[in-house]
This record gives sequence, C-alpha cells and structure tokens, in this order.
Amino acid sequence: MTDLPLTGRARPDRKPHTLAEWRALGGYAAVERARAMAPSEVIDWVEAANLNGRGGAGFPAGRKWRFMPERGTTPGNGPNYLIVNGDEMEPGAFKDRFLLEALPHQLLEGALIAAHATHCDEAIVLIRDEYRPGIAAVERAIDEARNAGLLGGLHIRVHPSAGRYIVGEETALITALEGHRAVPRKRPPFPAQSGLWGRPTTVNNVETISLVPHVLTLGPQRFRALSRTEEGGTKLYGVSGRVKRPGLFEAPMGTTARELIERAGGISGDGTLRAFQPGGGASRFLGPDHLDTPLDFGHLARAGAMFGTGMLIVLDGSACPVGLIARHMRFYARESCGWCTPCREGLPLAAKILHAFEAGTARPEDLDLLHMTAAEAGPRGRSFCDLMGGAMAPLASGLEMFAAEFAAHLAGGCPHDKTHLSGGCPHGGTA
Amino acid sequence: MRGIIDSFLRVGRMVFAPTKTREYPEVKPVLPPRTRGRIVLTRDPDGQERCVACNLCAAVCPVDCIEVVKAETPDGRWYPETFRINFARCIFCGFCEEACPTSAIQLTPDVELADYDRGFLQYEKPDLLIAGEGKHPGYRYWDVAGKAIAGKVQAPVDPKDLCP
Amino acid sequence: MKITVNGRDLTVEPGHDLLTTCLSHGIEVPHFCWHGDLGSVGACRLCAVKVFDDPDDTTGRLEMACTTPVRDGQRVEVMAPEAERFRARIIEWLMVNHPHDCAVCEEGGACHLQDMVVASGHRHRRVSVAKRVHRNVDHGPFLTQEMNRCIGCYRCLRFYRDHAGGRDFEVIGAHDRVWFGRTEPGALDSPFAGNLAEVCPTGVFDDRWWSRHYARPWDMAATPAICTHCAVGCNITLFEHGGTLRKVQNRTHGAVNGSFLCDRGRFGPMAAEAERPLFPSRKGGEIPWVEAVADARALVAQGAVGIGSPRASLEANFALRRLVGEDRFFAGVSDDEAALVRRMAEILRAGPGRIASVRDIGRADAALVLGEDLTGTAPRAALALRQAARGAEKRLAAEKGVPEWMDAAVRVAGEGRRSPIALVTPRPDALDEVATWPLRRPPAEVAAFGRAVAAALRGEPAEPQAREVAAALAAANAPLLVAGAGLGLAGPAEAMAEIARALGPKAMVALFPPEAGSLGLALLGGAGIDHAARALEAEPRPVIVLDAALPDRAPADTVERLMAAATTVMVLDWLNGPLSARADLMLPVSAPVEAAGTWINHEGRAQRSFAGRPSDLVPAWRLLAPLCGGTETTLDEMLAALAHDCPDLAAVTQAAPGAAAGPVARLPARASGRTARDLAGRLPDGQPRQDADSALVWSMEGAHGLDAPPALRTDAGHHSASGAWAGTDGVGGPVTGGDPGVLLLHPGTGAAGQPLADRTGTEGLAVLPLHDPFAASAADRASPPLAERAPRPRLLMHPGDAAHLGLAEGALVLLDGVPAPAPLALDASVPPGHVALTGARGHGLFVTVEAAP
Repeated sequence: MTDLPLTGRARPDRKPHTLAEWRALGGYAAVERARAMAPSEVIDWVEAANLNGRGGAGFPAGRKWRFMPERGTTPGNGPNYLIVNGDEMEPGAFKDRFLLEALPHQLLEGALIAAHATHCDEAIVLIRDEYRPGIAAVERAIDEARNAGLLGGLHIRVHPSAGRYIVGEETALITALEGHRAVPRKRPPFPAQSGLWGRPTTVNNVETISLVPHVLTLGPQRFRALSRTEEGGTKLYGVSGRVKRPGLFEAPMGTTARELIERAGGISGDGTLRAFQPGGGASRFLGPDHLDTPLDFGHLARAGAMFGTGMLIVLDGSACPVGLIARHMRFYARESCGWCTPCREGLPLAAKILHAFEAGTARPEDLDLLHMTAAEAGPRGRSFCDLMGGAMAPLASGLEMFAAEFAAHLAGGCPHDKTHLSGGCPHGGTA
Repeated sequence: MRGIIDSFLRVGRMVFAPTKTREYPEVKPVLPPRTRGRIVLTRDPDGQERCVACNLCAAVCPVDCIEVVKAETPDGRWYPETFRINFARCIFCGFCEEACPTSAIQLTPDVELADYDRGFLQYEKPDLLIAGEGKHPGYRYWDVAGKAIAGKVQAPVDPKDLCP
Repeated sequence: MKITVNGRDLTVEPGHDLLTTCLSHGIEVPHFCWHGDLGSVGACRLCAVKVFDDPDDTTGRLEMACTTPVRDGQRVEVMAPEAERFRARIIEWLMVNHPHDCAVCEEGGACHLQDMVVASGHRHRRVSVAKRVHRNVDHGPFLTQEMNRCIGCYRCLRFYRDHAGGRDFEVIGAHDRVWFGRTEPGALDSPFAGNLAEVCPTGVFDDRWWSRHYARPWDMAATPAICTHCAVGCNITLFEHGGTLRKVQNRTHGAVNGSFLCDRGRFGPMAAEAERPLFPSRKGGEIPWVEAVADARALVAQGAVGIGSPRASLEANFALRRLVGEDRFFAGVSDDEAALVRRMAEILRAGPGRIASVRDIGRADAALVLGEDLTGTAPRAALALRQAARGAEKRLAAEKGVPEWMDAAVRVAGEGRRSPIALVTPRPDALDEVATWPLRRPPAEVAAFGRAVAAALRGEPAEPQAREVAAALAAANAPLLVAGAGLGLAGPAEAMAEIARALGPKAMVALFPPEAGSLGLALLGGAGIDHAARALEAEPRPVIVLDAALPDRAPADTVERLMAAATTVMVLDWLNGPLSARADLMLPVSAPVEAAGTWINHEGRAQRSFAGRPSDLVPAWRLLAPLCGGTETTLDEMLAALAHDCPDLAAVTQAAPGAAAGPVARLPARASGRTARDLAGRLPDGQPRQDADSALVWSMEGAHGLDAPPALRTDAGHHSASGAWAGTDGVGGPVTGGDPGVLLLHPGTGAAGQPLADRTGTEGLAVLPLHDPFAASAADRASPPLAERAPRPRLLMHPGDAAHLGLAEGALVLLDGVPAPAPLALDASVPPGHVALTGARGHGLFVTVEAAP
C-alpha cells in the first residue's frame, strides 16, 4: 500500500475494477477484519484514527457513529440506516465523482464496515442523478458483492437523487429519500435519534466512507501518520479555476495551497495569485498570505475560514472577483429550497444586485444591501440551514478583500477584460 | 381729552385711505394651487378613473363624510361603484388627499360651494369625477401594484422551470 | 419553571416552546409561520429574540423563539437591538417581492403582514429589483388566490395537508418562486378549505364571497353568533355592512371549534342573502301584515297543533309549545328521529361516560365511531378526530425526546403511528385513512358490532375484530365513543351506551343529533310527525309549523297526511319551501343570523347567537308570544318565561349576559361614512338600529375587544385572525374569561331509561342516508356559495338490487311514487337491500323504488 491509499489502486483509465480484480488488489480484507471486531471496537479505531468527515462539516466520523444505538434499544420499530452521501454539487467539488466511478468497491467496503459499526441493516448510497457512470459503477459493485455473498445481510442500494444541491445537506437528503420536497430539518432531533422514517440514521460522505477500509487495513496509528497534522489520513484535494492543470490530487491532510497549486501546474491567466477559496464555492476567500497554511479543518478554522471539501478555487490577478462572487450567488440563489426567508428572498436579491454590479448599473444602496445581507444572514442560526451561511462566506469575505473592486464596479462597471469569456449563463437572466 | 382727539384723528384718517375691498364675485381671489377647496376624483394618464375604492380616505376622514363602495370589473380592476362626499360635513382638512395611495382624490382651489339646499351638498361620483389627472400627472397606481388587470403586461414565473 | 422576559419574571409551564410561552403570557413576539394548532416549524425566522441561558450568560444568542424549548432560568429580551435589527431585515426581505397591493387587497385592515411590517418600523424600499410575479389559479367559489402576495410562511400547506388531510393542495418551485395552491383550476376537495382565508396571514387566500361583496374590515359590524348548520355549534362572527352579510369568521371557543370552521358553517349563513319571503301570504298570494295577524289569531283561537322544528331556535320552539300547550306540541321530524334524539339526551344524562366536547374528541387516545359519517354530519368533529389519530405518533416522538410542538419532527419521529381508531360504516368514509380499523358493516349490523365490543369488554365471547377494538378502548386513558342519528337508526347509539357502561367513567361519549336545534327541540318534548298526523286525523285542528321545508326532514307521505288532516295550515319560516305556497297562512320570520336565539349543541351546551344582520322581520317567538297573550317584548323576558316553564332548561339564561350587560359595540372605532348621508345633523335613517334582545349595539359606542364579556366578544384586540391567541388564557386554552355557553346535561343525573329498538321492514329497500359536508339540506343550498360547491343530490344502489328491479345506470326512478331528485347510479359499495340517497329524512326508513314511466 502506498502513502496514497485512497486513489492508489485506481486504474489509469479510471474504469472500475471487477470484484475479482479488486480482491486481487487486497480488497475486502478490511471488511473481514472489521467483522471480526465488535462494532464499538471498530468505532474506537476510527476515532483514534482522527478521521474527520470529508463532506464539508468535518465532524469526526467515529464520534458520529457512536451516537447510533444498538438494535432494539430505541423506541419505535425499524432498522438503523446508513446513508452514503454522494450528492456532490458544491461548485468546485468533483472528488466524490472520481471515487464513485473509479473505486466503487472501495466505497462498498467502507459502507459494509460502517454498517457493521453502526448496527445498520439497511444502507442507501444516494448519488446525484447526473453522475450516471458513478451510479452504474456502484450498482454493479453491489451486485457483484451480493452474488459473492459479501454483503453479510446488509440491504444496500443506490438511490439516484431527484433533487438539487440542497439534497447534499444531510437532513434534506433524508427528507428527500422519504419522498418529500428536499427541505432540511431542524436539529435536534439529530438523525441518530430520529432520521430516515424516524429511525436512527447516520449520513457520511463518499470520501469519508472510502477512507474507512484504510483505517482497518493500516490501523489507527498508521492512518493518523499519513497526515501531516492531527487530523488523520490523506485527503483527495482538488484545484480548479485559474491554474494550468486543474485536477484531483491525493495528498496528506495538512498539505498547503502552494504545493497543490504547484501540482496543478501553477497559476494561469496573469500568473499571480489574487486569492483562493479553500473549500469550494461556499468558503471564504484567502489571500496569498495563506499559501503556506496547512489545509485541514483545524488550521483553517483558526484562520477564520472553513476547510469544507478541500476543493480549491483559484483566482488570478486578471479574473474579476466580483464576477466570481456573482456566479456563486447565482448558483446558491437557484439552489435555495425556498423554506426560510433570508435564503429564499435574500439570496436571489444578492444575485440580482451582483448582476447589476457586473453590468455597471449598481447603486451605492446596493452595496449597502450586500453588506447587510452578509452581516445579517451569514451568522449561524439566522437561517434554517447552512446553505445561506455557506453562500455568505464568499460574499462577506469578498466584500472585505475586494472592496476596491466593488467600488470600481460602482463607479464604472467591470474594469476587467472579459472579451475571452463566453456570454455567461446560457439561460440568461440572473437568479 | 387728548385721547379722544387722538382716536378721532386715527379713525377719521381712514375716511381718506384707499379702499381694499375686493369686488367679489366680479373679481375672484387668486388662490394658490394647494388651497384645500372642492374635492375631485381624478383619472390616470389613459383616462381610467384612479380610485380603487381602497377606503383609506373614508377611514381617515375625521368627520366620516366619505362613503365608498367597492366593485370589481371582470378583469380584476377595483373601482368605486359608489363614492359619496357630504360637503355639508366636510371640513376640507385634506387628510383624504394625503391618505390616497393612487392620487385619485385631490382637493382643488375651488371654494365656491355654497348652495341653498343641503341635499345638493351631497356629491356622488359623477359630481366628483373629473376628466384630467389633477395635480399629480403621470401616476398610474396599477403600474406599481401587483394585481393583474386587463392590458397589464406581466411575466409570471414558471415555478416548474428548473433554471434559472 | 421560572423565566424572565423583557425584565418581567414569569412562572411558566415546562414542555413548551418560548414563543408559545410568551404569547400565552400576553407578551407579543412577531411571528408568521407559527400557529397555535399547527405547531412550530421555524421557517419565517421572524420570531428572533435574544436568549440568555442563565444569569452567568452575558453574551446571549439570537434564537428563533418558536423552536427554542423553554428552560428554567432563561432570560429573554424581545426588543434587544440585535433581535430588532434582524427582524427588520426579515421584513425587508419579505418586502422585496411583496406587491404594492394593500389598496386593492381584501386583507388590508385585518392583515397580519401589515401589522408585522408596521411593528418592524419598515418604511422605505431601498431595493431596486423588479418584483417577481406569479400565476393565479381559480380555486372555486370559496377562495380567491393572489400568489404575488405570498410571504412563504407555509401555513396554508401545513393546515390543508397536515391538519385537514387534504391532498389537492401543493407547494411547487424553489427559492423565491415557491407557489402554493391547487395546480389545476377548481374547488378544493376538503370541506375545511375555507379556513385558508384565515390561516393565510396576508391576502393570498381570502373569502371569495366577501371579496365580491366587499367592505373593509373596519367598516363592518361584527356580531358573535353560533353556526346553525349542524349540531356542533361552532362559534362564529358575522360581519355585516350596508344591511347585508359579508363574511363569516371563526370565533375562538376553547372547547368547541377552537380556531377552525367547516365550509358549510363558513358559507351557510349567506343563505340569508338568498331570495326570501318578506311578506305574509295566503296560499302563495301576498297579504298585508294586519290581515295576517288577524288570521293567525283566528287560527290560534281554534286550538291549534304545533309542529316544532330542529332548524328553529329554542325560543321559537318554546314559544310554539307554550302557545299550543304541551300535549299538542310535536316535533317536525319522523317519530323515529324524535324518539332517537330524546333517547340521546337520556343516554347522555344517564352516564357513566363523560360527554365529549370537540376538543375532547381531538385528545382521545382511542376511538370507536359507530356508523356516523362525521365528515358529513358534524364536519368540525371529523377534523378533531383526525388530530386524535396523531396521538400515538406524538407519544412515540416524545419517547424519542421530540416535544409535541416541534410539529415537523414529531411527524418524522412518530414513524407514522396512529392511535387506535375503529370506524364502522356501511360505505367507504373520508376518515378511513386515519382509521386503524376501517370496517364496513351494513347499517343494521353496525349496532351488532358495537354490542360485540361491549360484550368483549365484559369478558364475554365476541368476534376477533370486536375483541381487538375492545382491547384498544380498555387500554386507553381517554377512550372516545361516537355515534349519531346519521343512519336514521337508534341501534348505534344504544350500542354506544352499552359500551360506555362497560368502560366506565373514563369513557367519553359523543352523540350527534341531525341539526343545530334538534337537541333543544327534543328537550322541550314532543313526539314526531306520525303522532301529530294521527292526532289531527282523530280531531282535525289547525296546525302551526315552524318549517316550510317539513317534507325535506320528515317522511313526505306522513306530511301529506298531516296537511290533509289539518283544517288550516300556518307556516312560519325564513326561507320558502314546499309548504310555503300551500300554506293557508305563511308568516315570514327573521333568519337565525338576524335574531338572537339559543342553540343547544351535541354536548348539551346552550349557546346564545345574536343578530348579525339587521332585518325588519322578527324572530318566530315574537310573533307567537302575543298570540297566547304573552307580554314578553325582549329575549331576556322570553328566556325568563322558558326558565320558569322548563326548570330543566333554566340554565340557558346563563348562556350569555342579558341586554343589561351592555353596551357592547358591533362597529369598530374606526368605522367610516356615518355622516356621508347626514342632512341637517340627523342621520337619514334616524337613530342607530335598536337591539332589544342583546347587549350589543349597532354602533361603535360600547365595549370593544377584551372589555366585552366572552359570550359577546368578537375580537381579541388585534386586527387580524392571527391575533386570536391574545383572546385566550394560554395558547389553545379557554377564551379569556371562560368559554361561553352553559352545559345542560350532566352525566349521572338521569335514569338509564329504556333502549330503543329499530323497526325492521319488509316493504321496499332500506334507506341509507347520504350526507354531504357542504350542504345538509335545502336551507344550506340556499346559500349561493354552497349551492355552487355542493354536489347534486345522489341516488345509489347496488348493481345486484338494480338488476333485480330491472333498473340500469342513469335510470329515472320513483321513490314511494315520487320522482327521485337524481338519476340512479350503480355503486357496489352500497350494501345489498339498501338504497343510498341524499335527503333521506324525507323518506323515512324504507322506500319503494320503481322505474319512472
């Protein structure tokens, strides 16, 4: 096993392995090992390995699993549910896609181990509908494993999502699985108390689950040692935006942006780094002064940002940051589920105002409105779920970091050369 | 004694002072446009009556001398089927004009409203409605209201449209 | 537990959310999506307040009060600057798309959104984006829709789908395009759809009749009244302007209707606006009042027989009984029905079961409904039973630590559990979906099933399903038993009584008579129409009938005998009916909404209704009292006479304060237009209309809001229906000052009595009554909106029976020789040997069916 366990076994053509091929590479040994341990012992290992959830929130996986009750100890009737969240729709995030398409058996192993640890008899892998190859790969892997008797009694299936971005939020995902509109739920009660169909449920990201077998194979200490920091394991980082070779790069947790940008071929455009978002579209902008900050949950939280998915979006000196923020707001405004007031009304408003900035028709009151939106809707708990908080991260940090740009747009429209860009959203309009 | 002569002189002087009598009604007073006189109901720029029978004028009237009854055209336009002001009671305060959200009801500088019969002081809509826009040209309430009426160009969103 | 709110120390009940707690203590917290009956969902984010957990907490947090559990030692600041600022932004966001419609919006003046916007201080629009515009859909005769005005509080959806169980109302779309309503044009299916007009805090959904006959909320006279369209007796407020009825709104009553009405009650009173008899007539020809009164005196002098009506007020029926004498007073219903309703009162008095109010129905933890189509006969009770079904769900959720007020979480954590409810009906029922045991039994076997349940409770052998139901009832803390007169049979009520005896005092019993005045009429005594006919055949006399539509509610052939045997027929009614043109003397009287009167509901609760619509006609008792030399000129005097003659009913005088308790204003202080027609300092109509029968005055000079006694109160001091919480002692509690009305029947105060047996027949098919939630009778169909909504009369038969009689689908038939009001429809859900029809009371228990020539 290499020091890049997560992607090390992927075929160069990224096609998924057959079961036989996978087993030849050592597959399902981790599952056997886990099944020989008590569920609580498996959780001990995962906790000791310091595996933080890779879906964006960074909640420790082991601690999340510990909330799940043993069979028959909870009021009501029905199984525990394990849900693997493959609804990857964050702008700038494309890591789960790779893991689904190229390494489905690895994912399945992780799901089997997680189900064992959390006393689940049912598991659902929810994958966004657009990831057709990923859906096919995982379904085939499940069939192969079932035929080979490897599922051990777990009922596991793939559920292509019929929803949008908000389905990536775990409670909205659960609600959507029940056949309702994908509106998030208030926590408490937490999914481990009352989740899918009111039953104890745990939801984990594809990357998190994919790392689980390696905790069992390597053991907690060696898994931790893969990382440069306290947070265990490797990370499937991504870099996109103004870099020469955007892509996915597995690296130890705590790798820096400088290293990742280098691996991505360096800055394109005018070659200078203006700013980057460390965690996909829903994270704050960081400047060149953070190029050497170890990229993990703890370090970035201390820097006032959020690590999120670890998918970097890079801005060079020639790109218009206001335009990027406008595009982000347009996305989040469209993806608002429409439940709570700040997001439902505030996001489309922000998107429309930013469109006006791009067009050069913004007024000074509009800048006030953007500041108001970021200040009043950004803090936790103001809106019903964290979509708004995520959307406000680039807006709030952008208003601060790019204040001069906003002022310039107010004065006379976008000062950047946009002639090489396409005409914007093909569907026209704003939000 | 001195005081009496003083008064005589003061008053007597006025005999020779020029008169300032205004020979009304041959000479009419010049009243500023803001003078709160006769109340009228105005029309919008295309000649439709502005009043939407919202009843705010009736509600704010300190003497309750306005009675409005709402009716609706088939295409949803609100209008007053009855609009009555009792000028025997009206105090010409102008609150109705201030309250009106459509600039329909306005006070004009016409103060020649006296009559011999109180019944004629009860003005109905035909007595109040004028042909023009009054003091607020160019305002059409239906342009800024959300309610749809005939001829109004609106582009309702399609909630089933996924994008944008 | 103790908390501090806005510097005030409060002792509060644990287990609630902070918003409900504040409102229950009269502390205003702005909110939209919260509703006392729909729980907390946290969607609108308007109820933000600053919460400090304990005295050591100096920073505090901004929390949404509706989803914050109340905890001991909390300190809450509603007006903290951070909270005010955030709430102002919420309003600003809502105003981004809210149209400039107040001037042309029905809700203006009674709009919760207006109140919240003013409270936030929002004045200027600094946003320059265009407002989004929505399509509207026709929602039928009851509701308007203007989706532009929607603020996305989701109350409509939660009420219609979650609370009322309706399916044809949805939310579609996302972000600021969410759209609520019926996606296809047409009237909503649920008979509770009209509540959307009050549930919606802005002008998206409003009462359509009111919109078409519009007057601003501050211009309408509001009168407290009682709905007279079924035996539940919901409390309503009648709104009048310019002499006509404009709108009916819910009037909170903690024990009866709570916050909701059914559509029949909401739109039924508009029958007062239908074409009505205004002058006396003789055989259909108009005569002057003087002549009519002379005729009446002559008729009475001959010793008349009186036929009371279950549609008439207690005072009307009493005045008639006093006029003709007890032994000549009969009930204007079949003998079977008269005996059944009397027996119902007897069963309720005997006990041991507690008499269930509608609120009790909603809190039952197990229920058995014997034969009654509640959605058709007592719709508001059906709505309550739907809530009772959620009991098991709430209990499981509580076990998982989810409190009842977290409504969305309860529906998830409760795993879809249902409280045990057995519904035993001949045909599929609207409540089947909430019943654990939706059981089909032919009418005659419904009682048998009930008796089997009683046997099982006593430990005797019984069929398995009866044993299951019995076990559920026995295990429950508040088991509910429901029966009524809906099948026209006494069996279900008797079986229910047997079960109650087996269950003991913990049983709650609800018996539903057919109409609002049925129980009052029964308590005054009097056998049914067959006895009356026989009495007249033995000794022909004049007959005085309080119902021009008597053939609609008593077997038509018996009515014919009655009419033939009577020497002269005098009819008093407010609507024309089959008897109007035939009557030797027809005297028009005021409609129930035009006069004060007393109505005794299914619980035996006497409630007073007041005149909400002015009329020059007088109520029936005012015409009847002088005819026997009575000197009563006011309702209070009439009630005193009633209390004197009927000691059992003496408590009805306590149902509401008398006329001396006034004045209580009907008009709000801001009513307009009063001097528009004033010439020379006098109002053209003279003094304001006088109301000698109540403390209410037809002007603004009297007590307003909470200063009025509960039975006379129409507003809680807030402009909109969303402010109703301010008029109760605690959210969901009784009306401040006590729920109005007085209970007349007390379990354990009467003898067990003799059970009634149902007649069996050999001639013809047995009648299976069909009940329609939108119209119980022709009187309801006189209301224009109900006429538009109510389905046509129906006639159904099992295909086997039809084949046997040689009848095909769509055949025109004669029922007892009279053409049926509808063509025949074949329906396999009708039990063989039965014919299901609307308006069954006009036919009795059996009917012969043959093809029309």
